[in-house]
Amino acid sequence: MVKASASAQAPEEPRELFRVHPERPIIEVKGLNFYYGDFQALTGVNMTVKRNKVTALIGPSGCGKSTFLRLLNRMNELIPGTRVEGELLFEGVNLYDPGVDPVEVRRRVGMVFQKPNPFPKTIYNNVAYGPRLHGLREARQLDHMVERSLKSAALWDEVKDILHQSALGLSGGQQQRLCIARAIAMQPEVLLMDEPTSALDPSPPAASKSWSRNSNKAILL
Amino acid sequence: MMQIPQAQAITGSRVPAMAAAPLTKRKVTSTVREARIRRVFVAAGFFSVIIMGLIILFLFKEGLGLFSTVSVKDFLFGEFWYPTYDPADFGIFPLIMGSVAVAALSSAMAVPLGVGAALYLGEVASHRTREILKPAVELLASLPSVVLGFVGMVVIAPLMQQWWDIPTGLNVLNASMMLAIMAIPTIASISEDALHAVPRDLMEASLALGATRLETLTRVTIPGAISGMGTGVILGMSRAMGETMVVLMVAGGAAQIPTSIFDSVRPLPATIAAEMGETPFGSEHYHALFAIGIVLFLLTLGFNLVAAYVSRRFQQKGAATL
Repeated sequence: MVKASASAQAPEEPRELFRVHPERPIIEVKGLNFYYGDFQALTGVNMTVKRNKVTALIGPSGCGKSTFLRLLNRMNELIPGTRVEGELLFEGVNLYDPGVDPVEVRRRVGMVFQKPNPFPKTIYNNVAYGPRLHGLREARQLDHMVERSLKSAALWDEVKDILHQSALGLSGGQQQRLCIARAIAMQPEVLLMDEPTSALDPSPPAASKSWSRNSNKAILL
Repeated sequence: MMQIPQAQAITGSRVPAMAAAPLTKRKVTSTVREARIRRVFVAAGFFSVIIMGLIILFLFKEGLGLFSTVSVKDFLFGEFWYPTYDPADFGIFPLIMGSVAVAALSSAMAVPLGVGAALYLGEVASHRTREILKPAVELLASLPSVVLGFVGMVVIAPLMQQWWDIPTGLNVLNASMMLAIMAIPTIASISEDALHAVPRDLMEASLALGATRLETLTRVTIPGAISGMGTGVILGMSRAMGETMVVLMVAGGAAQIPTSIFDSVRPLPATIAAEMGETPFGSEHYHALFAIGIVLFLLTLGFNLVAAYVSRRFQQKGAATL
């Protein structure tokens, strides 16, 4: 008996690390400071991000919006010489705790970048990239996932006949929606979008809003 | 008063405009100077092309003379190279095989090491390590080949003889090792540049989708850099193929078809270098050495064409190839 209960508790699956409490905000930031080398880019940021809502960050250019977003999926640590202070709780767990795997964080907190950055692969392979990383190999499931993601990003109708052509042949706006579809295909719990519409046509925000409505996700723009 | 010359200029009239004379004059001198500078650049650009053309012309003029007495087939596939016998044999098949053996074995050593070094420098090493190591790798390329030949001859060859109890340490393996050392920096440096040229955006996109660094490397970075890496590999191999001094010093110089990596061989460039000084001008042997030069030229040209093809074919533009 004792043994059984112990083994049930002991192996803490990475999936279980971020336990969902529906009432709690999905992200809480407390006293966050961030440095690029000696330069302090963020000072004392406190905020909460509600579940199932679209949250927008606004501010003049250069004020640290992108830096902040990139902290939420640990992209900044790819830049040498950066340092984080304070707490950044995602589902109650500090993202910067030593035991937290950045790869796991990025699978659950998706990101769309300011500039469209599709891979030089086919449209299909761009969207299937994430699911394949998850180990999804079965063609039917992949097809389904690709179609659903592209529909969510309001791109399906435009590309359904050219799925196996290069993504680089798409227009800038289409490429950006493809990047959104690519992020959606990972079924992230939070989708970070760094001014995804700055250079683009008006449909992505509408598309991503519709996507957020029928899933339990939070979006930051 | 001032408007008249302007109007003339616009309509293209060639009547000299007095009022605008200073301006016009300066314009003329600057176009003259520009034309002069242009000519200098054109001359500089064509200089190497012309020299190259002349060398090829000379090579073919001297080399093709051989084929009035020896058939192309006997030359390329003849199994005996006895240029000073009477009657002489001018079969370069053993020499070609010597070159091929040395180039193949050295590539087998240099490609994994060179690509591995590039991956380490480009993806694994910290910024500071990279700043130190990359120039060091490139310095290896500037090592004079005669020094490498010296090392192979004086250090490696006796060791090989001792370790494996073989008649000579001057053999395919030794030459390949020295050539690999020469090819590694070329391969590593060009491959690393290619890896470095893959846009950071793409790697970030991959990482943001929850790919590990290894997954990003194998699925995004390497496919993006494969054309440059292929070019580096082929140029490195072509360098090993044309290299003379090392093979002259350490390949052993026996004109035989190698059957093991411990056989001595006599690659094409070593043959030319060794024999050109002793052959009478205009003799059959002399022409045969130039004919070898043609073969060597065509081989390295082939390598370079393949390199150019690879770099174009695998460029990630237009239709997706991944």
